Amino acid sequence: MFKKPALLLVLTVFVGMACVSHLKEAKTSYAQGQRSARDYQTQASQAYFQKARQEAFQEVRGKPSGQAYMVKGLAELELELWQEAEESFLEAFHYGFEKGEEWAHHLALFGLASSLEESGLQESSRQVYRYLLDRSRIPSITLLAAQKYTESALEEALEREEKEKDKALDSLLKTAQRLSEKDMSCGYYFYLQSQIYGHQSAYRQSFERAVMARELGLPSEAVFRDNDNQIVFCYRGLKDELAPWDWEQFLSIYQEWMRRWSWTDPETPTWLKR
Amino acid sequence: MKREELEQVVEQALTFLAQILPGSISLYFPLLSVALTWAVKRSLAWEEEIFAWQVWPNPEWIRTKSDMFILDFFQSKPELNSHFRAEIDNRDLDALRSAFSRLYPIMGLEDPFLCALFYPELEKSDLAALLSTFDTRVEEAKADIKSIPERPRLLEGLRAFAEEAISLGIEAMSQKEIQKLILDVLKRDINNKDV
Repeated sequence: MFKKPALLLVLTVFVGMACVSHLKEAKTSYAQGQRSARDYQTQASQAYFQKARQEAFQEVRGKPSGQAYMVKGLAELELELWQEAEESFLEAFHYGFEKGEEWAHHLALFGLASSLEESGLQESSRQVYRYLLDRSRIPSITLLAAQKYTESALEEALEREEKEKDKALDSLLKTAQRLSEKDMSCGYYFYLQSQIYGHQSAYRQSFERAVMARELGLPSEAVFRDNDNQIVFCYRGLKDELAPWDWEQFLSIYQEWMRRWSWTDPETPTWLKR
Repeated sequence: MKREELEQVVEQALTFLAQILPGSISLYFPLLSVALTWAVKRSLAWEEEIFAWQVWPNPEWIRTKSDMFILDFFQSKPELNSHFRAEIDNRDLDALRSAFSRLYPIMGLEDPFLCALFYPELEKSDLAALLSTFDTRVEEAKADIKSIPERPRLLEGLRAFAEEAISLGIEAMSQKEIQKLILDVLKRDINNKDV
């Protein structure tokens, strides 16, 4: 006689636990995805974000909440499903997640900036990217906006007259430095600084930022190799520029890094054909 | 490591590519090279790296490299230094920048796909031919890759090929030796079909 209600109770508890575990699973997968993304393990991170999205989807179907929609939105953001992420953040807002509306708004702005850029309205898109990199509290949006903004602003700066160009480069450098202050662990921000210092022929600073970028990690093999080439370029620049004593000092530091990276000579990174 | 076994693995991979990309023989060598290169390097983003060359010749970040960096690139490589002597002497940065966007992925970043695609020109140091055909050939390669209906199957096949080659000890070979092995089998394959 008690068997049925008992079974129901067990089932209810089990289903309840399953719901809890969907959100928990979603959060765990998202965290694992972030860890893999930080190590630039793109394939692994995408698989984790997919799983996080699926688990969050199961959760919002059974037990919608601000938290579940937020995790779903974050996973969609990492998968570059902009429209879906925007909708999830709005849902999260409706379920009490206060930042949801602002995040959805920032995503909509990012979409707008991309469209402006595609239609050739560089100046307007640059303004929106600038706004996002100053205001957005979503790391992946800040990083994407930073990439887009600096590339576009650098391109524009290089077209200016010498004096104007110097001013624009200074301002851009400050922006890139602020980004590093916001997220010290992002190698790409140091890569950007290294590139800007390179334009200013400040080889020592460019070298130091490139070393930091290399140590922190870079988003693709091509950018990683370009960063190594920048290191070699700075080495050659400093060889011409420094007084003998300063050069000796720099060389001993350079040789330390070479040993750490297993470079056999100062101008040949390990990936380069011999 | 037995060369015959490796050749057999390459032959199987060529048969597979002939099924999946029947009209694009020019892509067989670059695809097999790139699959092996990133597998040997244990690249964590293997799939992305296979298709990473598709951003060239004009990724955003390359347009903003400094003039001094570009000059240094042309001056520091003897073959470029002699070919672009006049442009370097005249500081003709428009001409150098335009050539840079095509030569840098190959001679600066050593992109394995592009290095294989332009292998004949690089072997002959024929920079003029490389530059004049770069855009067309990269666009053709992009279009061919885009037209594959079963991209996951292509990746699966390339991965299986790379794993088998690694299990036979291909890691002990240099990139050049690997490329030569693939080319030898490919040439033999084409000759056999002609006969």
